[in-house]
Amino acid sequence: MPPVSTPASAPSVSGPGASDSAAFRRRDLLVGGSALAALIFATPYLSRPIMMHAEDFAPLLDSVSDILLPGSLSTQPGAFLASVMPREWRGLTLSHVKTVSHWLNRHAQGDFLSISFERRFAVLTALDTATFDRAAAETGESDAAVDAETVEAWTILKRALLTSFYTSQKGGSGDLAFNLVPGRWDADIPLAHAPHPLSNDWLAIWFS
Amino acid sequence: MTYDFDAIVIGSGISGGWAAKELTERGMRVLMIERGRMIEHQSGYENEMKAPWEMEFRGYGDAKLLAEEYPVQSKGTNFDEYTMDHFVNDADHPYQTSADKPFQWRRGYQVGGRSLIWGRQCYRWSDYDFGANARDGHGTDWPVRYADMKPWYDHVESFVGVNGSMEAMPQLPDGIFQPAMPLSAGESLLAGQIAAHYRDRRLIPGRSANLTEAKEGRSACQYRYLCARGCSFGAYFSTQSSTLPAANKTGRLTLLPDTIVAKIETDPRTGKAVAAQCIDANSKETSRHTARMFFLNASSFNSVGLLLRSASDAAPNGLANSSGTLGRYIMDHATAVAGVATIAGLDDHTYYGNRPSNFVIPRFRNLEEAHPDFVRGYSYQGVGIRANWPRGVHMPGVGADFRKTLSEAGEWRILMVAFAESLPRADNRVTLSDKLDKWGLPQLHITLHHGENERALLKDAAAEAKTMLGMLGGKMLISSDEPDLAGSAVHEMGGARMGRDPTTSVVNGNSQTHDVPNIFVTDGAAMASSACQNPSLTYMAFTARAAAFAVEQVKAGLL
Repeated sequence: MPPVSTPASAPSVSGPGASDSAAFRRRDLLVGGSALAALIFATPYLSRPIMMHAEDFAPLLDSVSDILLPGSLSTQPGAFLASVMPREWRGLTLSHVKTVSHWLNRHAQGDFLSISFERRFAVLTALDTATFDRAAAETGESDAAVDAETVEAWTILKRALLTSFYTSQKGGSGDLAFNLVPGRWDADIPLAHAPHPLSNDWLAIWFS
Repeated sequence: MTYDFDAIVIGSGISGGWAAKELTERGMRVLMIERGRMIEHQSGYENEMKAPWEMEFRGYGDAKLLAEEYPVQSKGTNFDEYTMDHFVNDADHPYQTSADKPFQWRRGYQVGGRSLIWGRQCYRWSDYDFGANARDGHGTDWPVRYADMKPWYDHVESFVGVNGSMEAMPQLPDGIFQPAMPLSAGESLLAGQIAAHYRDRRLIPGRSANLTEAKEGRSACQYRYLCARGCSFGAYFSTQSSTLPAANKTGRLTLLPDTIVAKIETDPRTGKAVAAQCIDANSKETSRHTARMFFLNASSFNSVGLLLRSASDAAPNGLANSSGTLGRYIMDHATAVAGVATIAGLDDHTYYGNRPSNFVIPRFRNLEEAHPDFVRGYSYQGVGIRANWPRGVHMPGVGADFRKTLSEAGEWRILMVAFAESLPRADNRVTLSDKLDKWGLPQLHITLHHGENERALLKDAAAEAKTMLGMLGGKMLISSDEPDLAGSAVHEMGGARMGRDPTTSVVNGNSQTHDVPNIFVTDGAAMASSACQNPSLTYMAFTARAAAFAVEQVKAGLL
């Protein structure tokens, strides 16, 4: 997949669910950070931006998914999204993830993945609330307000995370019902007879 | 003269399949030529039974690939990762169109053509439609009326298997129906409100080519709504499930896939068509096949393109184009999302299954009273569903409560799409471009813009939709009177219009070209007006009717 340049202040990816390979690569970056800073002015080659890949963000995506939809971690959303992000699946790009990551780190006053689950939940809730609080987003007066770029990025990322979960076997046939061959059309039944809609209610998916 | 075949049918989609079936069953030896690959019924439907988690992109496809190679197809109905192999690759099959409002040409080049991926809605046209051009002067008068077509609608519906309800509405004649697919609870509520408040309109179940009762080796619909992936149950009408087996059963059909008809060759002495000059789509080798007659069923614009490409010294502007109208008067329904609204007070009702159909509110404008702002009319098609998990994108929420909410049925929503009649206009046309495709054939240039009448129709449709949906007590989510880009309805028609006068039309009332009597055009190209109903059933009826006529002509020694 194509590398994407990013500043050296990219998000940490430590935390539960991080893939070994991604975490190892990240640790290398962080450990080497101070030495890099010392050399950065001396070596033109090293002053190039550090190249980040989609999979470097898999731990962050795992964490955000598990906060958004508790229990979704087992569907490995980070790995899946990292694999399809270079193809702009559901419109998601690395840039969107970086924008959200930046906002989360800023409001975590540090590394989002290093703070407690309760604080991560609060920060992500603040982002989601602010995104839907159009007035705050427009005026920028709220401390939690988000700019238009972040609103767009979170909306797209939220869509990708929801899609990832509800098109996984766990989400699509666990939380929701799934029956590829319903065999009948019941046009009007009590809700109690079908409390969980079909994840393969294709028309409803398209028109929702 | 001896011929390789009695008839050559060009195209294997909805009308081509019908031509092959009817001609072979009437004793003709038929070659059906299809430019695309073979897709076998059942075994050829590769993604039919896959769940989202079995697809690389969970059913949504590779967005970059779609943007690069399927920019037109991917924006259309029924296109997704499961079905994309049933659509053309736009990069491989380019066409030219106007830059400001590009025509959206949705195509399926394979055996079965778009019969694999069509919307399956089947409506008869009435004399409001066949008489429309004569009544208001737009276009040329149809040489047929409903009475001419009724036996052929009966004939094709009996074979297709169309579900629907008897409604006794003169603007939408009843047919030979299997039991209807009932309205959902939300749709029934709207139907009741409309019945209570309006005398001029009605909401009824859609009429679709999906079996509600098994027939002739085909199973009843399993309510999967996976039609466009191909249906191994044979529950919807397609070439594969229906007309191809019937034609094959006669032993008189030869099917030639992966073959592009470059030109129809005529005999300069007689003026009759004698051969189809072909190119192998893969090897690019050429071949030539002779026949007594030719049925053009390559889809509206491709049939027109073939006639334009078949120009000769005797017909320098295109074959069968002495009128100069070949390629002109093309149409496509103007569509818009007239309204989407929620329904209040129905939360304890839901539904189960995937109904592969919709509701319809048939045309109610300009039937008995003339509207001051526009001619012709529009109809609505829509669905009433309960919102599913994607609604979560548009609502705030994080955490366990959010997940629980999304695991339950969302609010009821009713969607109404308006289909407005498209007037035939000379400057909406198909021509040959200077640019060539990879087989060295001229690409088509398609110019089709909706006009003021279509805009006025959609404006009225949006206003009426808002009023009707407002009776549901919910919230109006969307309403638009801006027409979608032409082509979006996938009901392109015209270009070789039917008429009595050889100086103003291309084919006569028997679908036979005025200039070349052994060429029949029985797909959408021959349409002289567009009505506001889905046109495929009418193509089928015209095709069956023309085939019967053609065989009579052969038996009488006239072809």
